[in-house]
Amino acid sequence: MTALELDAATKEHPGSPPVMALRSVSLTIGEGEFAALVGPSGSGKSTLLAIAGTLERPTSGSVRIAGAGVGHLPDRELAAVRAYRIGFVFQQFFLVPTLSALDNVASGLLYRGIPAARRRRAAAEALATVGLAHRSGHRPGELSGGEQQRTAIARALVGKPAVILADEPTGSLDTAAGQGILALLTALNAAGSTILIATHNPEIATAVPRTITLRDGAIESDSGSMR
Amino acid sequence: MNNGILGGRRQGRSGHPSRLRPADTWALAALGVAGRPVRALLSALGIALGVATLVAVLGIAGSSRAQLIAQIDALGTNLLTVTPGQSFTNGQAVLPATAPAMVRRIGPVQSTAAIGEVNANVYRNDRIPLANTDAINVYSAQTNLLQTMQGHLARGRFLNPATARFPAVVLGASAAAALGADRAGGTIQVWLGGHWFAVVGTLEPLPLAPELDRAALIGFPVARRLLGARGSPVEIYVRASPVSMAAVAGVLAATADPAAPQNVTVTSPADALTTRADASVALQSLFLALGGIALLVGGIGIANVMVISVLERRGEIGLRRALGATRTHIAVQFVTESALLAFAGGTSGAVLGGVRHHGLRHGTALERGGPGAHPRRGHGRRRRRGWRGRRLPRAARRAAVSRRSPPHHLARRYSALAAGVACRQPQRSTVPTTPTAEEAMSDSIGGTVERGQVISLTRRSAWRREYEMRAGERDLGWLRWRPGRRSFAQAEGQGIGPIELATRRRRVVVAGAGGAETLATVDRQRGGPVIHAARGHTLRWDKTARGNHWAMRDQDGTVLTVAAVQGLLRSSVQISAERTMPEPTAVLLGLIGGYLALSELQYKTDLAAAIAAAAASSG
Repeated sequence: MTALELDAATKEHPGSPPVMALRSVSLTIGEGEFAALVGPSGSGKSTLLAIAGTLERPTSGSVRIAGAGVGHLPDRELAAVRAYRIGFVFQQFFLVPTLSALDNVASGLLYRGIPAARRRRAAAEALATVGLAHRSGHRPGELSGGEQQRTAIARALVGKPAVILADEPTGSLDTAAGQGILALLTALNAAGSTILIATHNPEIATAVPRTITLRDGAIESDSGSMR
Repeated sequence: MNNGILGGRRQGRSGHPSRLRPADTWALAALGVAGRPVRALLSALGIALGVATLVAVLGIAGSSRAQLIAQIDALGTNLLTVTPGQSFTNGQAVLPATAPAMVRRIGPVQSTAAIGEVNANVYRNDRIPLANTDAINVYSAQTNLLQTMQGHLARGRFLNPATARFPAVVLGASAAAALGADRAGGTIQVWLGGHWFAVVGTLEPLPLAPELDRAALIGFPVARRLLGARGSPVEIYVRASPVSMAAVAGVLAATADPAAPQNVTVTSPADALTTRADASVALQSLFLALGGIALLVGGIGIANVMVISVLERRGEIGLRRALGATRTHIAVQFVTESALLAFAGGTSGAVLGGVRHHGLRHGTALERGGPGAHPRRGHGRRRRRGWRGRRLPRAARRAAVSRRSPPHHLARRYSALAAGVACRQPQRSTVPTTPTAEEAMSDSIGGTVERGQVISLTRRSAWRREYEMRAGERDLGWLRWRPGRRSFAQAEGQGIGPIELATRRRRVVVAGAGGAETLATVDRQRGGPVIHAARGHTLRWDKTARGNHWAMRDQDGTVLTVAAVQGLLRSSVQISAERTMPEPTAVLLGLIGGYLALSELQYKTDLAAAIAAAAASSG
């Protein structure tokens, strides 16, 4: 069973001349895999993640999440795919500053129509998983950068998605905190989560089991699936 | 694999839709509002001011019309006039001399009064050139004319059966001004038809019969004897039972001149005035347009803010999309936020506008003395309803009555209400007798304020606490409240000597000439003086059928004044009717100005915030 499958995905930004952000990328991430997209700025990492996360549609080619094609789905159903199948982690965390860490994590289940009490119970579990159970009542402003990113990861994790997509998760953090995040992601992967991260930090890239190198919108090298 | 694809599709399509619970929608909106308190406050304030402007504008227009209608009602809508029209042969028709008596015999007619033609002019003295008539008409008048017109005397007395036989004249309001009779002291004489006539009285303006304002009225007997007038009526005023107005109007012409009913014109002056009142509604459209523009400008400002806020919150929108929100969810979130703001702003605006509206409305209701200024009319039946009769046990009621003042808690709470003051002898058990017209009129003449007169206080300035004082028909001068000083007020009497006012233990005593008798006391209260009658008088406040309107009645049930009350209204915004126009205009302009300034401020604030955010994200 594949968690994520791109088949000849191409993304072309209109303009004169048109910018080819992705050139016929085919990629399969299996269930339980931990892969890193690496490459210089402008190589198409973020575009690939956006397409994989159904935030953008490929100009041509197809995307399958957990085996289901999403290319033809209307916005309402794409949103449902994101709500149930994909967890996102961003470089800038994007936590709501007026909500506690617990409520921020709980908002990961907001668009599934789950009652607030059940969302909070699941959020408490997810916070415990990332090691922040003792900080659940604090607001993002009261947390360190590493703790904020852990909270954001817990938010992506809380819905038990098919795949977690993380765009530069350590980009805003110092080295120590970045290492902590990497360790957390590795642990989550060991516990069964499928994770795809984009990074231009080579240290992180080497620590991840599978490395996919992008250059100018095409896959330059792929260390290959471990399984 | 194939199976998996299908399964996944089914799940994505119907098994697990993206869904936002309604409770969560509200929570999100509340979060969005509470998360940006300053912006939310400014937005809500903008909406509030716009709505307040609109509500106040509507209220002002509405209450000015209501006030006109009330004035007309006070004048009596049951008046009809009969005048000779053009005859068929093109000449001026003449009513038969018997017409008033004939009309009087129509069943529902309550009273009639006629004025007759007198071929004479009136001059200030015998030295005035004959051409300088000042356009004053001389009529002979029946002695019950004033009563029928429900008119009031400015000074003196009306014609009575005695003075109607002698050279005595009563002048209409503008005629008196033209002849200088309104300024002269003592008894003056005018040169009328080649004879000296003594001016025995002058009239207040009569809105229902403006022709009498420029008239000199003499008795029928003296007109016939001295001036040779034939006494044919030029106008007959008819008071009929209000329910039978149409029927009476239908038969008036044939009754007045059975031989030539086509020569008789019947009109209803109140109808003309009502039409004018309706026309003033047109003014409302102007106000509405102004309020609408204010709201539109504010709306554009708010739309601006929303656009900026959406730009500023692109990050949040992206996050929510990533969390699985559909476009509809995002839109609903923003719209709900706006709706919350609009609700908060709109509600407070409506309250704000309502307060202003009630304040102004209240002011107009206090104009003049109201019907209480009339000489007492017996109502036969004593009504004991209202707060006193309903709520208090007998002993407490007696105590309250003996205190001879409105209830204190009411007086405090609705201090703005206190306007009419009546001073009467106790009349606990007697049914009041109806005074004759002559008695009632002589009541209003004299050197001192009579018992049984109603003193009404009307605020005459919006900024200073000055009150015009009237007792019955007469202007008693004015009072000025000086906060912080020991002496309360000064008053100038007109023709009645000074009225004394003294401060005694934070209480002001209004006394009649010579200080012999206390007429009323005025308590200092926050928000304005509370005035209540002192001597043997009981006042009653009844809530009227209309919302927060209270009627002040005396023990006979006669309504002294009606006032609108707003629970929130602490200060007494009392504006006399003559000054109603400038006040709302100023309020309106102030509101619009404040509103525009706030929109501008809000826009600038948001722009600055957006720029700062942009700078931070790019830096």
